[in-house]
Amino acid sequence: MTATSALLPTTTDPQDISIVSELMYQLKVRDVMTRTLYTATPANTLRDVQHIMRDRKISGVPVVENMRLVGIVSLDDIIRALDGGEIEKPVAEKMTRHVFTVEEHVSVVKAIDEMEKKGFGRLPVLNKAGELVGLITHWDVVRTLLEMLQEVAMQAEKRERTLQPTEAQRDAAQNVTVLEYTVEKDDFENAGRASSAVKKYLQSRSVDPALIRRVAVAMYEAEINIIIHSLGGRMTARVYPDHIHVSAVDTGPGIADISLAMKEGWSTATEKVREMGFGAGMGLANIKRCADRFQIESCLGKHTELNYEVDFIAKPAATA
Amino acid sequence: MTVRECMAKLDAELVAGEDDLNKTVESVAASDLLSDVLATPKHNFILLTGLCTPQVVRTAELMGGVAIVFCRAKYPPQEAIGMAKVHGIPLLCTRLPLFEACCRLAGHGLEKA
Repeated sequence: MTATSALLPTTTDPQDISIVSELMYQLKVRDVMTRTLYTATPANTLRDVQHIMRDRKISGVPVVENMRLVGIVSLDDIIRALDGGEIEKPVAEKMTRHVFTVEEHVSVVKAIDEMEKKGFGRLPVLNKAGELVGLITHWDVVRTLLEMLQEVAMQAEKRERTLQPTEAQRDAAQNVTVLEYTVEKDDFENAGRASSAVKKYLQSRSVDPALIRRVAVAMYEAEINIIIHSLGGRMTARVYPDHIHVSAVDTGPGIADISLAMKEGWSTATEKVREMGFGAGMGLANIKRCADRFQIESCLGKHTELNYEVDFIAKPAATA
Repeated sequence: MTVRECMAKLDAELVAGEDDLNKTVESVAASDLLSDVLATPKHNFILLTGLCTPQVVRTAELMGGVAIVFCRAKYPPQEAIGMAKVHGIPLLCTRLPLFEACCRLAGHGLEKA
């Protein structure tokens, strides 16, 4: 079993796995990495590095020159240098030059997988410009997950203790549950996370699976649209006792001709998006087909707002 | 037909989801275009595809797909495997091309088109 799968829950009960697994997929390396770095320069001596390790209680020191990672010195290197009487030599002569790194925007799941494959307990983290910005270890991941879980638990407790009486009262009066999600531009890795969470919630309310599927498919299409076409946006699902209202609001280029955009097969998606299996120009038409009520408004150069509703009463004509 | 029976017909290798191999498959969706899959009216389908991204698993999950077969010996990335395990969707790999995989499943009581 790899570290990745060890960290992933093995149960298939949707109620049990939701929080940790969704957090794992959502977390990026930059969210968990240690930003306080103790580094050396190639001109430092190995003795200097030995002191850094001793003072900071660490076992690996990245070597940096002009913000660039040029090597790494491990505890093994220091022990070897002590054995061979080379401890006063410059770092540049003894450091490991070929360093495995990970970029700050990749998912934590991927980073753990890399560490496991390479057999390392830590990886230096680079930004898009190739500069060293942090260090990630297994412990960073565990610590952040624990913090996030604590936060989730505290919020749940807070809600239980009616700390938000107005919201609770309003929800009770209207019997509406509001689920909100931020959707980022180009964030394909998290595509469908909002739709999946809403699906899970509707399952917990024992809504008819065929209706859940219509809600989820329409929401996924809208989510993908925000990721592909906009600069980012927000999705809000309001669950009433007898229907669900979903709104997808984004900022971005808007849609020049909505009736054209509604036509199946018409799309402005890039080749990259098409290679991923999307952007076939079916999305809006599919959302409309899945919904009982559908509305779309767009302001060119500013935003697009899409709203749809699905009634919780099965209709024989519904196909999705 | 069960996922296990589909796996045998496709000479497929199991990547994830051993506990869900006895689920019943009622229809087949075969496409490299997730937009097409999202528009299918089929239920309890097995998804045959040449695409190999985590979004394939997400699409199947949201559509209530029963299992996924990656054709032409493509092997799914770790994120896809993790997501499939979480949602109880078996992932299979076959050396067969998409068309031949479809042919092998045809005529076994599975719903077409």
